[in-house]
Amino acid sequence: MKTINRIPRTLQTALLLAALGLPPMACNESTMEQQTATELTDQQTDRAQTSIKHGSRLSYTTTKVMVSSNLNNGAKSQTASDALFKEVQQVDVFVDNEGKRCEEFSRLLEHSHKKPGYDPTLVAERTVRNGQTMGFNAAGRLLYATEPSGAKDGLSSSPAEELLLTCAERSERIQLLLEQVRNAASSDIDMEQLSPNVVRITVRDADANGPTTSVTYLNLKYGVPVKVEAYNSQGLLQNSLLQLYKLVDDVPVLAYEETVGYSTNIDGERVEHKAITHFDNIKLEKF
Amino acid sequence: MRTIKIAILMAAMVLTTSSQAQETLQPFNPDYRDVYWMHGLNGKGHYMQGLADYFGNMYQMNSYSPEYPSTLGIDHAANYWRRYDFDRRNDNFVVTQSMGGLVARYYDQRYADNRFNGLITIAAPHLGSEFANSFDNGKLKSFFDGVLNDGVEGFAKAVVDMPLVTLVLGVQEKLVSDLEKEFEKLRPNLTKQVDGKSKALLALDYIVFFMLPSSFEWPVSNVFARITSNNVTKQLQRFGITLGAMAANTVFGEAINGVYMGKEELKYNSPIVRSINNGAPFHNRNTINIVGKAKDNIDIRFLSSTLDKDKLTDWGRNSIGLVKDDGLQSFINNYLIAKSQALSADFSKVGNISGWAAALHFLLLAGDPLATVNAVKLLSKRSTCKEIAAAFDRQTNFWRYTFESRYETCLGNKYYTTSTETYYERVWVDDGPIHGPKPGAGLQPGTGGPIDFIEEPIIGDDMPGSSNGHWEYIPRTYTVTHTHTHPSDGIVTLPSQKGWKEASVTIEIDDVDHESVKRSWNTVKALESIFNKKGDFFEIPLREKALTPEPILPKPGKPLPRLPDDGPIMILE
Repeated sequence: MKTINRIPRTLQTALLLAALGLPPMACNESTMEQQTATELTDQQTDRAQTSIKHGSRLSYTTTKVMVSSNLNNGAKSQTASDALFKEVQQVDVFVDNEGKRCEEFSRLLEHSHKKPGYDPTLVAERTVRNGQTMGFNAAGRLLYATEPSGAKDGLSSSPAEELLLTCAERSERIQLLLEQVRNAASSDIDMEQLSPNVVRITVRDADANGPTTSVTYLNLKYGVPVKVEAYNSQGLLQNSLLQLYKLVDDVPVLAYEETVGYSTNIDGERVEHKAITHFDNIKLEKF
Repeated sequence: MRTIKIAILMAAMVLTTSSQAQETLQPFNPDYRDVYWMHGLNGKGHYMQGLADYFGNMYQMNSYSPEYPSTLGIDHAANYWRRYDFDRRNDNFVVTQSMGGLVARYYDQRYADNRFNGLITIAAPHLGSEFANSFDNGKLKSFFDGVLNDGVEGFAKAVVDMPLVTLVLGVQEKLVSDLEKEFEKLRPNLTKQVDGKSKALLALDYIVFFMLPSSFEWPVSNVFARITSNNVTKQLQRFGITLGAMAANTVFGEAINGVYMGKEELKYNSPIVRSINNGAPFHNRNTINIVGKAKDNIDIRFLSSTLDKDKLTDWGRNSIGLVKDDGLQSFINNYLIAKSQALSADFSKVGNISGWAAALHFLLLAGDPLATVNAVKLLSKRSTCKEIAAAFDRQTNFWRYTFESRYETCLGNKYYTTSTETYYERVWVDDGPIHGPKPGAGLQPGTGGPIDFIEEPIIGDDMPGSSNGHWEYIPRTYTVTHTHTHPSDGIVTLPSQKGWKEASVTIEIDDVDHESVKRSWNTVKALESIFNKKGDFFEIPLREKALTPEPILPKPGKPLPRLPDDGPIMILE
């Protein structure tokens, strides 16, 4: 692994932010409003086709269920009659042979709250290119577009090669990360080896309301993050993320994801929000 | 003051009873039929003037759009109508909108000595409106509460992660701080107990334009969202009442002695509605019922047109056919849907596994301890970012579906069916205490501790490893209520509009809401078909030459003179 120590810190931050896909502006409104018929036609033409000639294709279907429940007296109850949303998508991810480019195409197969007939506000297709996500409705009209990653600083999108690393390669990188954290000796970060395969990283930070804590569990054997939990200043669990995998050619591919968050409603009741995604029919192939 | 009022009242009575003094652009022609265009609840004369002028200019009719006190009850309104010279000819007729239809039917049953001989009702709540009930049964409050609870949730949540945002946008901190101060200056307006319509509308503007990020870029909006969540929301909880009052004011007019007469009378199947429907049928067969039906998101458009109503100084007049757009609320909805989806996509990138891997890649390239610490801090926010993304997804669903659905509930035009739906969660099941109890164990009752399942984050048929547990699908079953909607015009359901049994003809028009039906081309077309029908009672010849060549031109707004608002009697212009 080569290291570049002389990169200015601002650029390092820029690199990180680009890698994390955090452009300053989240929504490119002008894209929506200034669409011309020609632009739309162009986007319609290529929105579902990859420009990658040779590489790997990872495909799967996702079934996502979102449900909100009241947590009153320890019992759960559905918050509203329309609180359970479900959507099924077909996803194809293309990664080129050099591992530099990655494109993702999703198509909506089913939505629990689709209105009868043509539903102009429903996103039927999504494309991700150069870190830019675009959503289209069934008629091919662009509904939204995020800013492309690195649009401002000229950096390319996230390195695609990471997506298809094997367990061993991932594990090696995580070990390097841990070593660097150890060297940094930051008082904000604690690391604990819970077992030969499991490391827990506790990060202390602060938001406007006071100190916060987040706990990340990493699996060294497979080289993947498994669970992240965030606690507020009162020590209450604010949200958590659980990610489970399937092994495809020794590559850990995301197979299950569960996001749990909490909020307080207008009556002061605590509400639990769950978003559960199953990844099925996972296939990895060269083309 | 009292003396002056009485004098004005008497003068008005003299004027209105002695002549056809209502404002009209056409000269009076004694040989023409008189057509009265009567507004509905909480209306003004000019609300129907668009239609009155259009047809008065095109057809051989004396076209009037008088204003009558409409918020004091149907009986009071009908009594007021006695001053109009309906029976000057025996073929005069009345065209009404909304509650005007009930007043006309009530009038026909009560006052046989001064009858009009034909009646066309447009969008009349012949059986009443569940919307009126919604004020008292809590549906409307629940609806507004829902907007606060779920509609702004995603944006408020985004603020939880402000440090992450300011890391990206540190340079904008000053801007943000300035805007905070600016908002603080405006905020006291919200804290006042609002009971007047204008103040309520002002407050609504705050909700629309400040609480919701419709006119600002998202980092700025986050600040407003934070202020909202911290400071404004509590006031808005009390403000729910104000929102209800605003809606009541807008739709039903000012309360008189604390009573919204229109709200009481227009409740579904209210005593007066029942008495009108059970009383004598219209005295002849010259009756036509025009029924308005909206597109699927009509409710939102109705809200929009109603809440925008006061901003239209030229409302009705010269605005025939100008109902083209989906209105403010629909625009806001679509905007929020798009915005929420974009924000969800952005935040989920951080939480995604590829985001993790990419960050790792750059981190190792940089090889700097401080960068490492920052990176680990960012990565530790993955669950928060994912949850924010999910919150925006929920918000997308709210503005795409739930908002409208809940408003429809207020209309009462829904019916329900239930079914059972199941979804599955992955749960780690403990197979036995091989390792002994773990610290912090017990994520799920009877399951292993966190180490076990983090040891084996692999699921599937060929699950490797030799841990003391395994992943299982656990079904979660919910009873889901499915909602079905009757068509409506956004405030009156189709069954209620069609509830006039003796109407000899019913015409259904599409793509109009309860307000826009007064200025829609679709209404114009329906009325033209009535007036052009040969041999029918309502047939009226066209003028040889229209009085104005382009009667529908949207002229620059010439505001109508304001009428005194301090008494129940409105003076005709």
